[in-house]
Amino acid sequence: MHHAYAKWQPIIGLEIHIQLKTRTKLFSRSPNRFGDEPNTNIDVINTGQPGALPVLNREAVEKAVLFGCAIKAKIAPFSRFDRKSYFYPDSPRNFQITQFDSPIIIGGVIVADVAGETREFGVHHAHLEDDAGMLKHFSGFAGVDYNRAGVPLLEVVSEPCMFSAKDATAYAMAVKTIAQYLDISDCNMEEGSFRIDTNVSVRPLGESTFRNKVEVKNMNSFTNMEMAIESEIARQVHAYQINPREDPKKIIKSETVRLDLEKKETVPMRFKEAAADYRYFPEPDLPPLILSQKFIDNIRQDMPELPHERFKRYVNELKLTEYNASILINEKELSDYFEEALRHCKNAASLCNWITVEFVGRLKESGIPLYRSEILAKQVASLVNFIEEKKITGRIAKQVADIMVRVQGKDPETIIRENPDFQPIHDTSAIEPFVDQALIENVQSLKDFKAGKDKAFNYLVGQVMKLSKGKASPDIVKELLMQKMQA
Amino acid sequence: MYRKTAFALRDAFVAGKCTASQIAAYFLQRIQAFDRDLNAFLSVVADRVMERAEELDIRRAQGKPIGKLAGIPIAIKDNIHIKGEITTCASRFLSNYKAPFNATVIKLIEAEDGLIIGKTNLDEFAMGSSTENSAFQVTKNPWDLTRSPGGSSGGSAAVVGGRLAPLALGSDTGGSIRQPAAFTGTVGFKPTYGRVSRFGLVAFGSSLDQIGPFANSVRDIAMIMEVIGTYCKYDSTSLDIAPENYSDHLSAPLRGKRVGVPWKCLEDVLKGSEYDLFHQGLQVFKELGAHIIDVDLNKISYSIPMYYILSTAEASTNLARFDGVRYGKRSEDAHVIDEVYDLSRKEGFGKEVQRRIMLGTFVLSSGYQDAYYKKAQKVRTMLIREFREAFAKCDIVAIPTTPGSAFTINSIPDPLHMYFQDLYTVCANLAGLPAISLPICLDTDNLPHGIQLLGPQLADGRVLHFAHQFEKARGAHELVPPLCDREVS
Amino acid sequence: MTKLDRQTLEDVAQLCRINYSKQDKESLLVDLASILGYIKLLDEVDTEGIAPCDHVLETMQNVMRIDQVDETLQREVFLENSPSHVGGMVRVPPVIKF
Repeated sequence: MHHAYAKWQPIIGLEIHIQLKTRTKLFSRSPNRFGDEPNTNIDVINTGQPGALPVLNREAVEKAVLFGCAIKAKIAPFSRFDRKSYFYPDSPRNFQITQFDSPIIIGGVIVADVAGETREFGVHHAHLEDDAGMLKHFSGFAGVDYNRAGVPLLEVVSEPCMFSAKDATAYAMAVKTIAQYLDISDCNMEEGSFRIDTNVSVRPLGESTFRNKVEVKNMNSFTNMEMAIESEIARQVHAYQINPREDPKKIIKSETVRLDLEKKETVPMRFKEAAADYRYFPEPDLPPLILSQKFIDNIRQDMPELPHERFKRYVNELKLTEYNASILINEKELSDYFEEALRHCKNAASLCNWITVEFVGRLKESGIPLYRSEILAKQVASLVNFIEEKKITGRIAKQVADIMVRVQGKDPETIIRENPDFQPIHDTSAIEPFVDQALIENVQSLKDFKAGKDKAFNYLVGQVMKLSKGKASPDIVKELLMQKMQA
Repeated sequence: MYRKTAFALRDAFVAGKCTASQIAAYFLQRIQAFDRDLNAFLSVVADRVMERAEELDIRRAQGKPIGKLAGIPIAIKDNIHIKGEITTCASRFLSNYKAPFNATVIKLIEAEDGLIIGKTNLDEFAMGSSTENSAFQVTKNPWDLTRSPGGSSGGSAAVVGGRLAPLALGSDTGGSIRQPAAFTGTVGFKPTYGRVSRFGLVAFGSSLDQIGPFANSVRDIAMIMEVIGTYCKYDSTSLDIAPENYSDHLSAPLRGKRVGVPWKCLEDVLKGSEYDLFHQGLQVFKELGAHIIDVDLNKISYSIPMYYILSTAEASTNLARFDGVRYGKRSEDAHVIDEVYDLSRKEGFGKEVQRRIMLGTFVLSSGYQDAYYKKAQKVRTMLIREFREAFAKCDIVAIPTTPGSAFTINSIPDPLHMYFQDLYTVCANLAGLPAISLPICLDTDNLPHGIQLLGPQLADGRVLHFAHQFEKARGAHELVPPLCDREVS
Repeated sequence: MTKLDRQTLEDVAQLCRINYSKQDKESLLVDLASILGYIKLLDEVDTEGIAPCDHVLETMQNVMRIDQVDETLQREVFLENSPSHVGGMVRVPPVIKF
């Protein structure tokens, strides 16, 4: 993708709306819940009744501050709310309460790895605002559900500092995991608690000014976002390339596009109107926020380990590969499950493999993630320990895992005890017959080994294991084989 | 009974001299007799008031505790919500709107056994100074039926002036309690901004609005303020301080106190009889031993431009919710969403409301916001500062309430001319100060005139104290409009 | 400060959804122009270095509440006031996607 546009630099910025998982809404005391019957989580404030007044939810402010601390941003010493006016049926007051002039979080850095390289992406600011209701379109009419109206949003606006779709994905994924690790949001893109809009422009390498940017709205998955960004970059570069002499501002105008999933490309929605006049002015019903250092410090001290820190710990201390570490990091619950298992087991690499490959693989069909299954982390740790302690072979372990998935909640110790086939054989005299049999059945291998082919040894070990149905202790097998083959 | 203050009525009730049902029935009769001429009420909740009066009588008979406002009929301006009752704001738009919740002030009043008797007329959405902008009816001044009772709380003022109820609530954004009080010879009080909860008051100018009482004596004002002047957790601009005791601090003499008068900004405007009457008012303070001193409040001269920029800007957004979607009258001719907005608002809003929304939108719009809205906010800062400096030199500021007495209905068609009614009252809203209007006397046309007292923020008690002393000395509160000065059988 | 011309009036009316008839347009223009003309008075005041008054009670700040559910609105009560509703939702004519 890149070499075709080697002379062009894409510039991408992201605006991410994160729904905060507070119990009540930002300014209204009605419940903040998804999926209920229309208009059942409402009150006089979030339905814009005359005479109703907003009262700020402390929990939302704390979550915003926590996020700001996590991204090493400045928590504004003075911030306040503004009214943003526009008419739309999903807006209960026809003005949104947002922070235009003085947002609560200023600056900040998102650290993310792109293609093995650690990058720092700048955040311009983050602010609090209330969400709109939901407009549902039917044939001949539309219905409005105000359940969502008033839900707290933390809008995180990046600097225009991303240069590829991969950059954007890494940034967005990092924001998502940070929000999840801080437990400030469910970050569920399907449910709309994590929404991404992106601004894309391109310019010839070396040009210092920005050209017109195009907004791509509401992509509902990371894959679609990458597709949309790459399509948009291609579209813009192509447009500039076939009109080399025209004024760039006329070739690509400031507009809004959306991803057409069938065509797999971005198509225009409409021309972005000369910035709609929102007439921002300070919200008179809400006094300003002048947060003390003490308030901020109190929140900062509750900060859990952040995803990038955990990633570094996994790679540097636990010696996991970057690939495996990122698999764990990107799903906080899985990583938490791993951490729990780690309390009972020291072999991080093996544990990681069993969790991310063996068990996850086995549960794939059921659709239930490992951390929501009945299989306890402690039990997975037990299994790995048994292997480490050579109480069972790797091969037997796989069978035990099958049973652990089938009969969830049953611990490996019980499974092994109940099944004689799983008991490892340590008794040399019991293993010897298998060794002898293998040597008899594989005369050629013996000859190969004597001729210097070391591979033949492993083959013979495998054969002995097979004969013993995987129960023979591999160390003893190797010892015996070596003895007999050298005899 | 109509000459009794609310205070005296409650005493009579508590002492068993009359029942709450008798009181309620008495005033309902007066309303029936006089309101056809005054048109002050938009709705009378006769059943509700009789029910509560009966219940209150039973409780008193049983010796159970009864509230501070027990037995007192109270009228409520129809931009304040009573749950389950229609709140019209005197607008066609809300003619069928059933309030889904109680305003905090209503909860507080009913918790103290106040008897809410009906909803009173106002200028539509509280925008106006004459109550002529009501979509439903024009309220008359009980002193002269050809004249306006003032606005926007004209209905409540006429009710208390005509003694159809001893107490009423109004709202004051630029003088909407004080100016009608001056026109109807009643006492009207606007508390410090944030002293009384705005939860349940349909918002007009959010940084300026306050709910406040009308009464025929300052002691009555103090009594109801002790009930409604308290912290409310549903209003983020509500003062987080305990309710104050005003009644016990009304009697200290005013000897040696300083009354500030901003002569410089009055000299051009105050002429003829207005000047004389104001001086009569000041004379009362002199006789009480207070000193009249000159204070510098030049920014008062810029009150009107400031007010009409800031209040309309806030109102333009506060009234955006009236779009025909969730409540209110939706135009029957609306077939697409744009028509729902455009036609419903066209059919629902009167001219003055439309004018102010347009003005408010303009002063906030891109390219004009700095020159208008932000400019006005800066001058406002300067006004607040001026008041602060003035109050370092004096205890109370005295100015006239209105530039003249009650004008005849339909005599001020020009909107700008009407805005000048607010000349002296708006500054208190801009600076968040407590302010009261009380009657000085009647003029040669037999019309009441008022004087206005302002205090620093949070000095509500001080304002009531000075007002009470003035009233005691003056006695103007005992005047009753001849039309209503009789018992009805 | 600026004069109010017809185009500006139309733009403002679009923004705030105030529709007026042709007859009203002229008188509205006159009224608003005269009001704006009077408001010009503020130009006389030198506001150099003065901060705008954001809140009339300067000491009020950090007003926040605990994150707990309080009185909610019953759907029936909410919909009782709505001009049109269907399936628990407020009904409006079709809306072009924003």
